[in-house]
Amino acid sequence: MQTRMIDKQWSEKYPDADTGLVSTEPYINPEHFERERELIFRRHWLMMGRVGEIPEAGDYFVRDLAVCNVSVLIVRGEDDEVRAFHNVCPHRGNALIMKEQHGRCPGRFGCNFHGWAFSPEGKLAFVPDEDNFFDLDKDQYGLTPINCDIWEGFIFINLSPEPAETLREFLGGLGTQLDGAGFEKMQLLKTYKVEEAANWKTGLDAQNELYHLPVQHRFTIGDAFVLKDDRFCRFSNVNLYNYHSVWSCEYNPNHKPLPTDALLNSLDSAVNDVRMSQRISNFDWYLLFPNSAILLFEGVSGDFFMTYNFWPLGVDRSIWEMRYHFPEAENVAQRLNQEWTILRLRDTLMEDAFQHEQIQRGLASRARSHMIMQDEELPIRHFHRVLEHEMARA
Amino acid sequence: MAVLPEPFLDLEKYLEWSLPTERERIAKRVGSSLDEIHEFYDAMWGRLEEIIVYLNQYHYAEMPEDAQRLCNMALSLVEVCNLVEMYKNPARLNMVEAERFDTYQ
Repeated sequence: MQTRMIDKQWSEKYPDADTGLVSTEPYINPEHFERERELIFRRHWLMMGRVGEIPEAGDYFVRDLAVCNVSVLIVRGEDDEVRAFHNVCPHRGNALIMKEQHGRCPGRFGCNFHGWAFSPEGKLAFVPDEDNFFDLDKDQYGLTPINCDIWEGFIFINLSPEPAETLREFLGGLGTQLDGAGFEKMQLLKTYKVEEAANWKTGLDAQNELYHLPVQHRFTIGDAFVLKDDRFCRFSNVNLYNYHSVWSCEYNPNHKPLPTDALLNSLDSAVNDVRMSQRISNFDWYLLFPNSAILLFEGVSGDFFMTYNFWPLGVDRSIWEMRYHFPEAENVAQRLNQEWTILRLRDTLMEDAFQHEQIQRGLASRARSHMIMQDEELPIRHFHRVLEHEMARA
Repeated sequence: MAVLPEPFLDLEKYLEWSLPTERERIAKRVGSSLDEIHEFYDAMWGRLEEIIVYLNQYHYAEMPEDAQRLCNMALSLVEVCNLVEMYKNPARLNMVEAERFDTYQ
């Protein structure tokens, strides 16, 4: 999609999307955060990872969702099905697996407290001194399941006992846009994680635009994308969905590759050339409500994608996870080029993490009660309108 | 087996940059002076094409120890190249301290 350099085009495309101010309260108000725990994180589908992270029967990972005081065990059963459970022994409530980790179940998950043991499918398989219990129906004491569904290899959970909508309904137009995109052709190559002194939305919103790019990233990737008058970023496309959104942009044709970039590109002769069929432009940034993003990139010898998750720890603390997925490298040249791509972005993301905390400081000062946003910040405003709507559902 | 593949033995004096993990390579960059970084970059950059052509005979995940050491040096070059070519001076960037960025390979 060709980038058009006209002003206010996204509000023209979505005339029903308002152009009003956004309140700063949701970033700083502890009471708002307490309500988000229940109304946002316990009610909506949350993206946890990829099926490729647990390829074999018995493979599992544990993720602690501090925002909901829940530890989630995601495991692939002997029947190849991926399930989610509370990481809690149903006997006396002990944490089954004691920390966040990836691993392979050695046949049974054993509780460290009294030795109750569970199959990878969550069934209670063994109780020490079982005959000494009163009317113990083992079928009633398997691991407590959490609603879990998979779309295009992404594992989602929903902590609501009865989710208001299916994952498919929740994904809406985003799901349609990315069906069959080819995520399974890529594998997880790198994960970064940074704990920030910032609300989870501060980082998410800062990532959900490119207006800041030529300024904040002027020493790193400020001219990577096409610029109006060589100065201001412009999207080539924006789509708003029910909860979610996507914006896209084109690489800057006038960007001069740096020496190592140019050399690695010239040597990167991999023949696999894995492409994602659903890319809208060179770079697509999907907001997956509430706290995740999927980023599709056109690469030199193959496309790649990233995911972000912003996990709240408190009203002004969060963890930002960044995961890079690439096609498997065919040779050293391709792998080094992938590493170059990862590290260039990493340095930029380290600038972002710094900025998120500075933004939080400013918002927390209550110097202003509202923020004004321009046309290229329309996806952020859309996110806040969705958030407001969901918070009002109580 | 020599410490590096025979055509690259002259790079042996930079072996301290042969580090297997990103965490170690970041620490090396952060702990080195700009002069030390430039010296390593200059020594490696002119040989990078030759190094990659040599390493391409192996699968990325399965190479002999001497080639792996050389590959780890190439990864260190990738670690420092943005500093040398792009932002020049780390003090210009406002970024979180490297040790706060947890890395998992």
